Amino acid sequence: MTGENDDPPMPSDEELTAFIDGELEEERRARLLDLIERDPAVAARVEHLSRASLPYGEAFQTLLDTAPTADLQRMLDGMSAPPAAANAAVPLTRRRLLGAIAASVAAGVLGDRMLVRLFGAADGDDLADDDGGPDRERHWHGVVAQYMGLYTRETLGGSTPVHDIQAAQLAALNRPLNLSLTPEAVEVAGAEFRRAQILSYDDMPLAQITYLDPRSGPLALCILRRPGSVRGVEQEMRRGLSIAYWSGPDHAAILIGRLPPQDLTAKAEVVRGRLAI
Amino acid sequence: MAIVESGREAYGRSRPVQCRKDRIVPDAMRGSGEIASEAEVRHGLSVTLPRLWRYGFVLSRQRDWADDLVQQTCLRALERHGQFQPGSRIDHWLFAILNSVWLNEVRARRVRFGQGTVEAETSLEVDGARETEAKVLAGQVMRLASDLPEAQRAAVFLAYVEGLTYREVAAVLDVPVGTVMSRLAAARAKLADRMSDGAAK
Repeated sequence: MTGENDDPPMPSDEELTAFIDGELEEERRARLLDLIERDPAVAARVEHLSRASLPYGEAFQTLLDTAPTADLQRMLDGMSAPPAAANAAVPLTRRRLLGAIAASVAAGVLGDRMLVRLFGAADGDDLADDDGGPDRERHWHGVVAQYMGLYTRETLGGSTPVHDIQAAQLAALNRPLNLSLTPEAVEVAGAEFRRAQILSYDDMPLAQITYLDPRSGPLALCILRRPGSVRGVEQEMRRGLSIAYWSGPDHAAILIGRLPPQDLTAKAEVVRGRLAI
Repeated sequence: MAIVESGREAYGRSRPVQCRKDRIVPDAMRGSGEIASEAEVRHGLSVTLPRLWRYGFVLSRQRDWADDLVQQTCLRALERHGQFQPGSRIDHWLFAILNSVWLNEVRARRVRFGQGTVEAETSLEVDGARETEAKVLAGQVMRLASDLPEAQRAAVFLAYVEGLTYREVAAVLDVPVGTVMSRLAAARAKLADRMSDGAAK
């Protein structure tokens, strides 16, 4: 502070605002009070800024009253602790289920023996909207898309596990899916491996391998063990996510993420070439 | 083999938090220096839900966005419950998470998905059916505040509605205290001008 002149400059709005808000240290406050007494221009500025001291607390009370508190509480209650969700025998509502899944993912406690059930059409209520009609073969895409919609960069924070851990995680998928996935085979160009885990869809085992693409965010390769026809890579959009999908005689696979469809399809082609399904 | 995810320090406190008289955190959570349990964070969420929603609404100016923000905040808070320091203000910690979700995820995602952002004019509308005089005034004050640019709006809300100190606002918004001061000063100047112009009428 200067303090050597008898005509100090107008204090900044920041300082005056802090003064009005009671945030100035005692010494500065006293000095400013003194200045206000002596300098009408400073007093006028303080008076002007004080006009913005409105009853904000009361005004915004209305919003608290209109908050959908009961719905939010139900949503929160639906995010149950992971082990409870996994063991629950009663059918879960989709909303509750997704909450539980997301909480499990969030808590990072998914072990390789844990099966998370992704429900099929019967429980899918609003999932049906997205399904593009009676194409049951691709219904699971919508379920996965909804699930992946919960993923953010934060969900996939952390680091890439070392090769041995990746291999161990994949080995846990190989048995139930009758596959031979390796870290090399499931590599997705430009994206970092995060985790491989087993989920289930309509009682069929579903492998989910998540990646973080620094450019576009979460990405997942999902493989479902289900007999069907062999088809090349095709693309579609679900819930704002790009999906590239293909199938072998015993498995169906999708690569899903927020990349432009062409980019995703190109990556899917490469993965398909390496992956024997 | 268990798969353990190492959480990043996204919401970890990098600076000490002032611990004033606590409205939210139950006695059991105070000053123990232990890691908060999920149940404690869940309880904190539960009692803060309406205020979180309100903050979400102030930021996004849309009811459904506010719903989303609260949901994502709940997820993140449960996910990061080990990062909450018992004894500090759980409501402030939750505000910080919501703020971060808003900046990094929800807003960005909506924009990327081409749904656009909301124009200021479609902003905070209170049910106008049976507005008493007090409600009219409340509506005017809310509209004035909601017309502020987002960064100023958030600072004004946290400081003047939620009653946080400058330091606490800075912690929630993850910006220096000086930035909070300049946002509040700019907001005050703007609001004062509008009050003087009679623009609130």
